[in-house]
Amino acid sequence: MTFPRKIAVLLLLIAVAAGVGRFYKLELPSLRWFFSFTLTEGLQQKYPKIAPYVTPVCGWGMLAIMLLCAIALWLGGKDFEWNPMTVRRMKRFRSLSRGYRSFLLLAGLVLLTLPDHALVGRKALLVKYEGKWFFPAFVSQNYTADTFGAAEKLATNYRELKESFALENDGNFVLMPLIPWDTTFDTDELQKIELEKRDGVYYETGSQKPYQGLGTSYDPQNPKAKQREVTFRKGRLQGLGTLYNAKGDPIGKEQWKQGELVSRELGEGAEADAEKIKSDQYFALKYPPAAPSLSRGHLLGTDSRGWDLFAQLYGGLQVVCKASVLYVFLTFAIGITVGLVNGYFGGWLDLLSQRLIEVMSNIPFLFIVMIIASRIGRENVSIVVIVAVMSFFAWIGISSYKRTAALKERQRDYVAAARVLGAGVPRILFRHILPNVLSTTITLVPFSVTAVATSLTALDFIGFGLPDRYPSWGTLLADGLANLEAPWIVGSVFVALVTLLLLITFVGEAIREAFDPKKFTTYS
Amino acid sequence: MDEDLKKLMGQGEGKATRSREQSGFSLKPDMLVKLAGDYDRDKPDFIHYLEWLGMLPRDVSKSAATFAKDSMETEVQLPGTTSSVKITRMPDGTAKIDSINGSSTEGWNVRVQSPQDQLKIWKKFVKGAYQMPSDTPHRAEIYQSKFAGLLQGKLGSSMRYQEPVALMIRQRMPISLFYGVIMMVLIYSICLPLGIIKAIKHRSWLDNFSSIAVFAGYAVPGYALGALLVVYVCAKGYFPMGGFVSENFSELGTFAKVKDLFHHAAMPLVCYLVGAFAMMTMMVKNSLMDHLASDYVRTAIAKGVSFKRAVFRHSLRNSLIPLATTVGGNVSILVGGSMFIEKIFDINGFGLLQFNALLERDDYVIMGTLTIAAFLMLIGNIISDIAVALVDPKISFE
Repeated sequence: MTFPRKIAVLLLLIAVAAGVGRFYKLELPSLRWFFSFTLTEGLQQKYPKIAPYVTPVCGWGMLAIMLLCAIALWLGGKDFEWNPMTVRRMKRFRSLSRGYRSFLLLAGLVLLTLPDHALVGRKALLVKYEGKWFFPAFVSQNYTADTFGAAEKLATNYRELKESFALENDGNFVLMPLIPWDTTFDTDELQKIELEKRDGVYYETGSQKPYQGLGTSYDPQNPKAKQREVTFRKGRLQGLGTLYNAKGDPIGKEQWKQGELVSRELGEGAEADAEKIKSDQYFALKYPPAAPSLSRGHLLGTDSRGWDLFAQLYGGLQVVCKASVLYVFLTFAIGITVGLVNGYFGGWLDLLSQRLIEVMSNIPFLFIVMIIASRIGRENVSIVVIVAVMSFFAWIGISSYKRTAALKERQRDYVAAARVLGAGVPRILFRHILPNVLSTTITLVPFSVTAVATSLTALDFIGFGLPDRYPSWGTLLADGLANLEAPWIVGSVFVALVTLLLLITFVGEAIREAFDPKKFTTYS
Repeated sequence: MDEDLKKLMGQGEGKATRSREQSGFSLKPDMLVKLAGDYDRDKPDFIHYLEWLGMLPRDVSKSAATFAKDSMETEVQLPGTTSSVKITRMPDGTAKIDSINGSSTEGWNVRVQSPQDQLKIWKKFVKGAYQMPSDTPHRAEIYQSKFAGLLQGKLGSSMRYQEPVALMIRQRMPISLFYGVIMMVLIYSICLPLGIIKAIKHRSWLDNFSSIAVFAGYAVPGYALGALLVVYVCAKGYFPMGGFVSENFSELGTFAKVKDLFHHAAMPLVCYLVGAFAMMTMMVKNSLMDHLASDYVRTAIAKGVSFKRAVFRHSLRNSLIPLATTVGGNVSILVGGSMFIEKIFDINGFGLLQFNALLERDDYVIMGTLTIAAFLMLIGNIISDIAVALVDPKISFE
C-alpha cells in the first residue's frame, strides 16, 4: 500500500470510530474531542438558537471532511512514489542520531496523550458491582452513587468507592485510571498524613522533626468519623482539644499539657460518647498545595487549588498538541497561500501587501495578543480563538519565504509549460509550484511548534491566556511562583516544558541539517 | 472606567456586600455621562482613536451642569475658577454661552446633551434590564477644543496615575537600558569567539558539547527559568527576590551601590541571556563555515596564506556581514526589556509598565507603550539596514 493510502485508511478508521462512538453515546479516548466544541457561556446566551447545533455541526463536519480527505487520498494515491530527493533527506534525517532519537521520543509523548481519560481521569475504567459490570469512563451516562449501593443520588466519587469496596471485600471492585485525578476542577482539599508515635512523641511519617500543628484522631471502625482534634507542640499534645461524637457534633473540650490530659469539660449526656474515644492514632491534615505522595496518588503533588499536578501536566501537553496542530495548519495555510499569490502575481498586489506585512511585523506580537485577549475577556477565550489570534500575526514569516520562492519559480520553464497547457492559477500554484518549494517550509514547522508552546505558556503564565477550564502549564508556573513553599510545582512544570522544547529543538535542528546540509571544508 | 462604573453601581470590589437588586439601582445618567467623559469613552471608539492620533481636536477642561425642569437656562462653573457662565439652550438642540459678571467665555464651546443623547451612552455601558430614569434632564457641558495627540507629540496622560505617559516611559527606560547594555556586551563578547571556535573545530567534541549547551539554552524560555530561579535560588536567600536595587540604596557607599546593583541584576540577566546565545553563535558558525568552504579561501590557502590568516583576515570579515542584520534587532530589547522577566523579578522597567497598564486597563499607557515599542522595532530595522550597508561593500544606497 502506498503512503497516501495508508493515511487514507487511518483517517477512515478514525472518522468511523469517532462517528460510531458518538452514535452509541460513548466517550472514547481522544476521539470524543471532535464533539467537544461548544460556544462560551456569553455566546450561548447571545445566540440561544445556534448554541445546541454547534457541537454536532462541528463534530460531524470534521468527520465528513476527514472522510472526503480519505477518499481523495485513496483515489489520488494509487501510483504515489516518494521523490528520490525526499527519500534521501529522510535517510539523512534518520542518520542524525540526536535528532532522530528526539523525534522518536517526541512521537512517543504525543502517542501517550492519546489514551486521554483512560490514563488520567477521575472516572473509573471498570466497576464490578454485585456481579454487574460498568464502564463509567467510556459512556456519556453518569452513574449516580445509588447505582453502587449508596443511599443518596449524588455524583459518584470513584476514588472513595474503590476504598470502600476494598474495605467491604465483597468481590466488588473498581479499576481506576493510572492517575485517578481529572486534569481540571478536581480538588483534593486536604490530605491526611499519619503521625508516627516514637517514645511518646509524634512525628510525621518519615520525618525526624517532632510534629507541630493540628492533629486529628478518627474512629478506628469508621475512618471518616472525627473523634478528637488537638494541637501538638514539639510532638506532644498541648493546649485545647475538642471531642466529637459519631455524628460529628462537638461534645466537649479538653486541656492538654506536655502530652498529659489536664482537664475535660463535657456537654450534657456526652459521657457515653466520650468513653468511646480511645484511639491514639493521630493524623495531620494538610491543605493544598500538597507535596508529592504515593499514598494519595499525587505523583508530583498538587497545586494551591488542590488539583493534581501530574494530571494537569498531562492535560497541558494535550492542549499544547492540539494548539500546535491548529496553529501550524492555520499559519501555514495562510502564509503559503498569501506568499505564493504575492510572488506569482507580483505588481501592485505584491507592493500593497508587502507594506501591510511590514506594518504588521513591526507590532510587538505578544503584547498585541495580550491586548486582544484582555478585550475579549479571559472567560470568553478558547483555544481556537487564541490560536487564531496568534496565527493572524505569525503567517508573515512563512509568507515571505514563499513569496521569494514563488518569485523565482514563476520564471521557470515548467510553469510556462503548465500555463501553455491551459492550467488555471490555483492549479499552477498548488500543483506545480508548491511541491517544488515545500521542502524549505517543512524545516520551519518545528520552530512554529516551539513558538506556539512557548507563547501559549507565556500567555497563561502572565494571566492573559486560556481560562481555568483548560489545564495549562503557564497557570501552574504562576501558581508555583506565588507559592514559594511548594517548589515541586515550578520544578515539575519547568522540567516538562524544557524537555518538550528541547526535543522539538533537536528535531528541528536535525530536519534543517537533513534538508540543507552545511558544506564544510577542513584545512589541516 | 469599568471598575469605577461598578463602584457607582454599588458592586465595587470593596463593598460587594449588597447585590444590585437589593441596593436599588441608583445610578444617575448624569454621573454615567460624566464618567464616560472623564475616561474619554463618550464618543465612538474610532473618533477617540483619531483624537489620540491628533487628527481631531480633543475636549479638555470639561465642566457640566443639568437644566432644571422646563428651564432653558443653567449656569456652569468654569473649571479652575470661581466664576460661571450662563448657558441658554435653544429648541433646535444648539446652545448659547453668555458670561456672568464679566467671566470670560472665550475659547469655550458648549454642547447640550438631550435625554436621547444620554440614553445612547447609557445603553453602551449599562447592560441588562436597567432602564434609564425617565425624568432625566438635559445636560450642558462646556469644554475647550485642543489638538493633543500623537501628531502633536503628545501621548496623553495615564488615567490611573494622572502622569504624562511620555514621562512614565522615560522614567522606566534607563532601567531596561541597564540590562540591555550588559546583555549586548555579554552576548557579542561570548558568541563571536564561540562561533569562530565552533566553525574551525567543526564536529569535534568541543563543537558537539557546546552545541548541546547552546540548544539547551535556546529551549529554555526566559520566564520559566526566572520562575525556577526565584523558587530554588532567590527564595533560599542567595539572591534578592526582586527589585532593581535595595530599599536603602541611597544610603550605601559607591562600592556597596555597585555590588547591590549587580546582586539584584544577576538572576534577571541569567534569564535574559539563556536563550540569546544560540541564534548568534550558530549564525557566526554557519556563516564562517560557508566562507571557509568557498573558493577564495581555498585559493588563499593554496597560495600559501597561513590558516590563521585565512580565517581572520579573509573569511571572518565577510562572514560577519549577516551579523550586521541582527544589530538593529537588539534595539527593542535593549530599551524595551522583557515583560515576563521584569514581572517575575519585579523590576520597574518598560515591560512592567506595559503589563500593569494592561491589568489596569489604562488605555493611554497601553497605546503609548505600544507605539514606542513599535517605533523601537522600526528604528532597529533602519539601524540594521545602515549597518549592513556599512560593512557590506556590495550594498550601497546610491
